[in-house]
Parts: sequence; structure tokens; C-alpha cells
Amino acid sequence: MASTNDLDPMSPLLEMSDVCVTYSGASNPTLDGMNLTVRQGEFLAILGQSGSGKTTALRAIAGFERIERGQLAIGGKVVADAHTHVKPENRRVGMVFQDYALFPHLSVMDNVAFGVRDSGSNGKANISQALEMVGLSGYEHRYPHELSGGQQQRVALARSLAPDPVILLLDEPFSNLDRQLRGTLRRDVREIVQSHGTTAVLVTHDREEALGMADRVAIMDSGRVLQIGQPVDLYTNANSSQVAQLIAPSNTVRGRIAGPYVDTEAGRFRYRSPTGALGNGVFVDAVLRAHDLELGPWEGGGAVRTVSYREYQGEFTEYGIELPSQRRIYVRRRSIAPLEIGSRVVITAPFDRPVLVYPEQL
Amino acid sequence: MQSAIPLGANRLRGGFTLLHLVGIAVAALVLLPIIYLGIRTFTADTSAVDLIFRQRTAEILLRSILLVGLVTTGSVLIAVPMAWLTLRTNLPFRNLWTIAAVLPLVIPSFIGAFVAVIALSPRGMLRDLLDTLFGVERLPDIFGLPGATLVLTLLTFPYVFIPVRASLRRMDPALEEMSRNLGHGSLATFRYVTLPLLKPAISAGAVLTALYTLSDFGAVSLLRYETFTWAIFVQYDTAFDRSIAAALSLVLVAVALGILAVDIASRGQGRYHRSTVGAVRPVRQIELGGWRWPALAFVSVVTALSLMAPLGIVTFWVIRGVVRGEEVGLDWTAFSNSLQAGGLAALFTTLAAVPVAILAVRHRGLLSLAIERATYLGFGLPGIAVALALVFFGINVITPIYQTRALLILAYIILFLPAAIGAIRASLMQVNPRIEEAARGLGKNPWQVAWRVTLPLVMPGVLAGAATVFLLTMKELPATLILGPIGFQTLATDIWGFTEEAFFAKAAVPALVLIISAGVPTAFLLFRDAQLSSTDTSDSTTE
Repeated sequence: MASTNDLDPMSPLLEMSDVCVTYSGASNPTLDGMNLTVRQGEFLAILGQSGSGKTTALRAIAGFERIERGQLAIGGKVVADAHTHVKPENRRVGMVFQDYALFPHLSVMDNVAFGVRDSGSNGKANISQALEMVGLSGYEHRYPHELSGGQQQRVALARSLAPDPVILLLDEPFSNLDRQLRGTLRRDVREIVQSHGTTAVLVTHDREEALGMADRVAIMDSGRVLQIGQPVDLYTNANSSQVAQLIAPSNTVRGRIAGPYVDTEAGRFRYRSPTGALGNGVFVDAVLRAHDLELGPWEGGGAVRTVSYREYQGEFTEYGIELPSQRRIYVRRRSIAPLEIGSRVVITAPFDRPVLVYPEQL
Repeated sequence: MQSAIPLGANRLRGGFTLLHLVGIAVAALVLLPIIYLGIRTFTADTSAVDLIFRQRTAEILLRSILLVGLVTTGSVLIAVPMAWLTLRTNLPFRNLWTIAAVLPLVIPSFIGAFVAVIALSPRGMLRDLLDTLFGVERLPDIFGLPGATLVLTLLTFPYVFIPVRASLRRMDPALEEMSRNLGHGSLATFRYVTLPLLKPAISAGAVLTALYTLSDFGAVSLLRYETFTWAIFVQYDTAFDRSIAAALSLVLVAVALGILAVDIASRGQGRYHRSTVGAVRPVRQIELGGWRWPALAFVSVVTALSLMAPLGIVTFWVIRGVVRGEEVGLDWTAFSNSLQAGGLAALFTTLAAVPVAILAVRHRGLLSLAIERATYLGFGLPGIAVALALVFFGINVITPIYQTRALLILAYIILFLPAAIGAIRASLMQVNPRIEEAARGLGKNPWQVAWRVTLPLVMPGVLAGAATVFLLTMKELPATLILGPIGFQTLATDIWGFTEEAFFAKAAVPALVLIISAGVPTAFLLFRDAQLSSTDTSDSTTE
């Protein structure tokens, strides 16, 4: 049941250029000139905070929202622009909703069969194959409310894969599950989608999920894609402070370049500038990653930084450090040799993990 | 709220309290007269079996079922498109049409029939108008099945509209989107997803419509269509032997209970739980495009016939009467009788409803369930059957109050108890028992908690229940006609009597007064309920 597309691998399967969507009654567009290319066969994640427009992007691809500007093409065919709107039922795009949207009045079998056009033996084979793939053979005659959250999730996935879509869209599919189940399902979904050979787009606000599951990640904010790339690449070379903040837990503080160092309220650090060389005295946004900082004993003199909060998390402990301006930044540190609340500390960045700096945004 | 986790279900299960005793007394009050009617009929001299299985009974049964079937079908066919158009499309003035689709409920069927007679009868206003304009001299006869169907359909479709609209509003739009996503067009989606999901709401509304139609006396009597209610009344009013009326009443009760039983049985399959969690996304409206004109025409015609025509024609006749100097003054005795009966019914029904509602919500168990179900029967019992049962019961058992207002009030209590219980129950279910437990934890005894915490919280429900009973009483007709002491007149009996005798101008004034005094507050209550049932807050906290 491999995908029936005869397009070259790595060729663009989905192309969004300059796509704009504004909800009626809203003053700002939700998608504001969004560009995105999804390649044949890849697993792409869109990572963004709530309100960034990521779900709207999926809804526009599926055809639930009309676009007022730009162009959206699937498999080289324009399905939406300012004048065209191919109906959702004619796009062959599979969608898994955040809350699964299983039909409560239909059995598991009928849910999965709902989108399969072929009522003959081929169609039946597709349905049972889809159910088998998600490990729910034998559940055909159950109803959605008789299933656990994880099982409902699998039915939703089987239902969307059974009609053999060109592209599969997953809208925060794990957000309603508990943490443990989320991990298992994440793996399963990745493997099922891969074995099916379908191109997939996952929307999430969970950075672990995006970085862990996807071949490429698109970072979204305010209705646009800020940066797109492989997870490792994004992590090391975030091209703006927003991207850097979204991709890893971090604190952004104002700083000023002084030779090989950047001076900030939190201390003086070695730095790296992913966007190009910066001259002396330039003001920057310095992104201090919580994992990448070290805390040392205060040696007297200079600004005072105090441990004001401590949260033991097992292997790691998270510390809140109060800066002279009374702002608090967070540092994660192995739990050995814990620091007491009230102790004065020096914050440093190790030699191999300099802080990231970006020209200050006004 | 049906599928909600029973709050406080763990408390006092099965324990017998003073409250249960009161509940049993209330249930007995509701059940005894009807049971008595049954026993009397089957032990009477004339064989009840002979009375029931006559050819005439079969004819009446057929006519009643035909009317119920037509009215229910018609109501569904009007209400479902109306709900869909006002909620899901870009139809202009949607809010206006929504209000207009609920308001016909405030018009009593006898006023609807009165309007139909003066407007559409062979010598009515429409004929006069058409005669002047086009020389049309005869119109098809409005009396009988066509008239009764028309009037009752136009007045009862809101019973389907309200639940269907609420259900459509609660429905997760992702389900319909999913169907589109899986390759089905909008028509197929409506048929295979939307309609099946609306089925519980449609059948709930259809049951209400069917019961209302079956119990209706005003429209069928004025429009001369012989169903159970009218046949029973004529038998009671004219025949010396009342056993035929009693036998017919029993068949009517059996049919009504049959409808209720079908409803309860079909609700048993709990496949309609919302399987979804999380916030519901607002639905993108469907652009009607060229269809907006037929759609507008449809809602306009429905509103014109069901609302504007009754209001307009009644007002017109009042004005015409005043202008012509006819005797159109209001019968103040009837007016004050209506208010008094409504007030007393509201007071006593609420007093009887509170213990049952508390039992049903806070002391769940088999006995509580049985008590609640028993009181719920009044909802299905036609007013005329209850009235007749009370006549027999009054003559033979509780003789001192026969031919007094007390017996009439008792009939109102039996008939309207479910409405009061429903309102109180709903607001009691909103009160989380944890709040009461918190008050206990702060050192208050159960009576202090009930007085200072629970009662203030459920007061809106109690008042709404009382108001509903007041208004239903004002509109009630057959029980008032049968059980009212000799010479006892209310607005409802006045309107009915004047229309029967074709004193249309005289009927118009009480009709207008009744619509205003009962209709305006009813409309207010209806909207309050419609608001409650269409918000999702209760779902998300209890499921």
C-alpha cells in the first residue's frame, strides 16, 4: 500500500508561497505570507507557540480555510490561490485532528472505512491492512467511546491512511495523551508513517516532539516560517533569537560585544554569532541556554547574582538566579553538589558551548 | 448533562430518609388518580373491554395517529433546515430568525386555531380579501385534518428546533471537516455524519411534538377534527354515562406512554458521547450564494405564518372591535382567575418539586429513580385524561374538594410537576457537591449548608421552574374546562368559548392579553434555557 505517487523523491510535493489567511473579525492575518516546501516522502514538523498560525497552515493545506493571497500547490497542481479553492474532499490530503474527531456513531471498522471509495475486495483489504498496521485488528466492532485515548489516536491514524492520501497532516496529535503514552505513540506513529511511505506534516508546540520525530523542522511565528532545516542544524545555527529560544529552553538577555566576549547582566561570556561577524560595542540579544550554563562560587566584587529558586528534578536541578535588575534566569545543572537558596554565584559558559548572539531587534 | 458523572452519587446510596417519604407522597399524588381511573373502568358494569375495542375507538385512534404523524414530520422538516440555516450559513438576519423560530411556543393552540378560523375559513378574512381582489368566492375547507395539521405544525416545530439547534451548536465541527477530508462532499457529509449525530436531538424534539399534539385539545376542538381529546370531551360533556370517556382516556394514556417508552428505549444506546476533548473551534459559515433567496423565502414564510399572522390578526381584530365600537372590554374576573390559578399552581408545584429534585440529584438510588420517573409521567399524560381521572377520583374519593379550585390546582400540579423538577434539577446539578462539602468542612451543619449555600445557588432554577408552571397554567385549557367550579372562567376558557360561538371580536381581547401576559415571560425563559443548553462549559467539566 505504498503511496501511488510517481513524483521523484526529494521533489517538492507541497509548496506554499506567500500564503495569507485572515479570519473574519480578526484584525491581523493568521497566516501572513507563509512560505513552505515539503519534499516527497519526508516527515516535516512545524514548531511554534500557540497563536503562531501553525494549525491554520494545516487547515489551509487541507482546504478547510480559503487563502486570500499566495499560492498552494500539491504534487505540482495548484489547489488554492486567491481565485481557486479545490474542495477538501478533492485534495487527497489526510488529516489527524488534535482530538481525533472520530465519528461517535460509527464503529472502528466504519470509521476506518469512511474514506475508502473502493467498496470491493481491494478497499476491504486496505481497511484491514490499515487496522493491522496500527495494531488494532480485532477492535473492528468497538465504538470510539469504548477505546482508550491511545487507541482512539491509532484509529484516527488508520482512518486517515486507509484512503492512501498524498500527504498526511497531523495536528498536535499527542497533546491529549499522558507523557508516557506520548513517547510510545510518537515512535509508533513515526514508524507507521514511514512504512506507509507517506509524506507527513506534523504540527506541534513540543520541541522534543518536533526535533525527535522530524526529518526537517519549520519554526513558525506570527504566521510565517522563520527558519526551516534539519533538527541538528536548527539547534546549532538558529538564525534569530526567536528560533534559538523556541528550539531550546533558554533566557534572552541584552548584551554588548567586547572583543571575544559579550557582556551581559548575567556575566561575561564567550559568544558565537550565527548571523555573521559583529563589531565591538554592538548591542545584541544574547541567548543563554539553560543546559549550557555553569554555576560557580562567587569570588567577591562586581555584580551580585543569587540563587533564589531551586527545583529538584531527579538527575537535574533547575535553579533560578536573581540578577542585579531582579530579573530571574534559569539554569539547569546536574544534581550533584546542590547549591543552597541565597548563595551567591557566578554564571559561566563552557569553552565549547559559547552563548549565541544576534543583532539586537528594535 | 445526561451523560455527566453523577455528582454526589456516592453519598447515602440506598439510605431511607424523610426526604424519600415526601418523594413517595408526591409520586403517589401523581399516580393515584390515573390508577384509580383504570381500576374503576375495568370494574364498571359495562365491560371496559367492549368500550375500548369498538370500531369508533379504532377510528379515533387512527385519526389521532395520523395527526401526530403529520405534525411531527412537518415539524422536523421545518425545524432541521431552520436550525441549520440559522447556525451554519451566512443567511442574513440569522439572530432574528432564531428568535422568530422559538417564539411560536408562546402561542396557545386555541389561539392559533382561532386565528386559522377567522383568517382561512370559508367565510374568513383571506376569502374576503381574495374575493375583493380576484373574485374568488370559495376557499378549500380549513376545518378537519388540514387545518389541525397546519396550526399544530406551525406552533410545535420550535420543540424540535430548540434541541436540534443546541445539538448542532455543540457538535464538534472537526467531525464534518474530517468527512470532507476523507473525500465526501457536503451533501454526503450532511447525510452520513451531521444527520446521524443530530438524531438524538431530533427524536427528543419529535417526542415532545408528538406528545403535545396528542394532548392538544384547543386546536382540534375548534377546528373540528375528532381525536381522542375532543372525543373524550364531547363524551364527558354530553353523555350521561361517563364510562366511554373514561375508557377513551385510558387508551389515550396508553398511546402517550407508548410514545414515552419508545423514546426511553431509543435513548438507551449510548453511542453519542462526544468522544472529543478540548476547545471547540468556531465553525466557518457556509456561503449560501444563489441559495440565499430560496433560504430567505423559506424562513420568511415560516415566520410569517407561525408568528406574524397570529399576532397581526389578533391585534387587527382588537383594533377593529374598538373602532367599530363593539363590546371588547376585558373580562377582569377571568383575568384575575387566570393569575390566581397560575400563582397557586406555581407555588404548590414548586413545593412538591423541590424534594423530588433533591432526591434525584443528591440521593441517587433505585427508590429515588422510581420516584423521579413516576413524577415524570405527568409530562406524557394528556391534560384531558388527568382531568377526567380527577373527576372520578374527586366524586368518589376526595369528595370535599370536588368542584373546588383545590382539585383544579391538583391537576395543574400533576401536569406541570416535570417542568418544575426539570428546572430545579438542572440548577442543582450545576452545584458541585464539593462546595457543600467545603461548607461542612468550615463547620456548618447540613441545614445551615442547605440554607446558606445550596438554596442561594439553586434559587434561579427554583424561580424559573415556578415561572414556567405559572405560564403553562395560564395557557392550560382542557383541565380548566372540566375541573373548574361551575361558572369559573379564565382567559383560556373565555377565548375558547367565544371562538366556539364565533364571537371573534370578543375572543381577540383576551387572546391578546394572554399572549402578552404569558408570552413575554415565556419567551424570556425559553431564551434563558436555550442559552444554558448551548454552552459547552458543563460538558467540559463533567466529561
